[in-house]
Amino acid sequence: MISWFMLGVINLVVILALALHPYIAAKAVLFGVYVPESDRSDPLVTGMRRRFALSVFFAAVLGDAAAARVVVASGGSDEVLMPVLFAIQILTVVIAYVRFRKAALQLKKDRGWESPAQAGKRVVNLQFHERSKSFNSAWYAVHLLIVAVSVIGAIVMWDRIPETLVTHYNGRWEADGWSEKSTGSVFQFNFIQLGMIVLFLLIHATVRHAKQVLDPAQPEKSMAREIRFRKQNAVFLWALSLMVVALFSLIQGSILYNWNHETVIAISIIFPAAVILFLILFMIYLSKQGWEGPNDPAFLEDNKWKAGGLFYYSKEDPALLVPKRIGLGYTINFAHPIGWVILGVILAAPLLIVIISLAN
Amino acid sequence: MFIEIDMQSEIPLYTQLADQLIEGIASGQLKPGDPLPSVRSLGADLGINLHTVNKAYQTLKQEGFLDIHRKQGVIVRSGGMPPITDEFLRRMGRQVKSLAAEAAIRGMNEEDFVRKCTETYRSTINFSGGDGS
Repeated sequence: MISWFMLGVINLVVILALALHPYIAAKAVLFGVYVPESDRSDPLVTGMRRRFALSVFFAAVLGDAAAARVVVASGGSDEVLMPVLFAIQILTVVIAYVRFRKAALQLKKDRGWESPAQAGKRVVNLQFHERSKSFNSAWYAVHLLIVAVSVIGAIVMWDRIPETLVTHYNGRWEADGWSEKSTGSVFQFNFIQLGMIVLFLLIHATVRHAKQVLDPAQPEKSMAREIRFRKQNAVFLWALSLMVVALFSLIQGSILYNWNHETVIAISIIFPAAVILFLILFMIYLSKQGWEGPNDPAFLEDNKWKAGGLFYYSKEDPALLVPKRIGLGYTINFAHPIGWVILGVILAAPLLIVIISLAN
Repeated sequence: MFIEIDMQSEIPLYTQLADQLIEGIASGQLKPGDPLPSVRSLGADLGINLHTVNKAYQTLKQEGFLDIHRKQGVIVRSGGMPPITDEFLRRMGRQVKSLAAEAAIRGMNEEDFVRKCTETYRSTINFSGGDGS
């Protein structure tokens, strides 16, 4: 089985990401509540972020440790342990979020925080979408190249591929599922890769087409900043998807050519942790550049964010995509019918992959 | 080119938009043949109704400043701008008249009024094709 050390590292990274999220998120929003510029460095506000981080961190670590003891003592396998640990982490962060959001709403009431007036001047640049094209989707050819190499490799070395392939591992990382060597079982990862590339290209396109929001007081400067931010987003997405596609080729290779399983399993476990760390570093990089969140009125208005500030719903706003309040990426305007269609497609895609691979 | 609209102004949104596009053509920031964003894209960017943007585009198309193609989308007309028409002279006369009247009541003399007009004209126009010649 994979060592306790690795299990600990992964859970620690997840807990860190959950606990540090108010630091990672845009400074303009505190637990889903808009904070005016003058109060963003207020000790009360920064103190709330710190208390949230500390309490989530310690509660989750202690809860996980206690759960691990109970599960191990009662002879439960680590197959049971992982979901239990994650459940404790999620529960901890939800309880903390609800409590701190309440406190943030109270602070909003006490201080009379208001989102900046929605009505007023709005500025757009007619060439904005032309200019924000800078990171070309042609870069995704690198991903396709990885898939092509994997496919061609499997065709060339077809005779070296064993007659039965491992298709499933249990919680102790012992093989417990096999299938016959066939076109479907050999190339299934490549189909998944292609599906993912399509999905990433779609996200790439949405980042480019999402509405521009410029600061009327400084249009030139905010436009330069917005274009740079979008480019960074696009490059980040590209790198992230490259890692995912490469990981699938790695897993495919290990199954087909009997590469060292220990190493491959280790990599595929450490991988999600690495992605989360990558994300945290990227957000820290953005905030180091003085980025406090988008200017979008959608982003700033508390009352358009429903269910604890998680979902954007505005009938007056014709925009389909608005910046997420966490600060990175975009989310759907749930009042827009096409938004629901997109959500359906995104949810259906992985389901379809599973159904197709089961049918094989 | 930047477009700025004021949501609280008494001037209708489509007029604000159309006026600024004409100013863009006059100043040379928008050149004949330049593409403009689609109705949908500009509406979303400004956070205003698509029909408002469409109305501005249609008005400018009817007056002959823009072309709307099925494939190329909306572009600044490249085959020469519309000339001075009687209709335009009437509209201009009307607008200048009300400004001149108010300026006179407020005590502005003819010389100052004309100088203000010249200044405004010169600061707006930077494009040889924009004056109808």
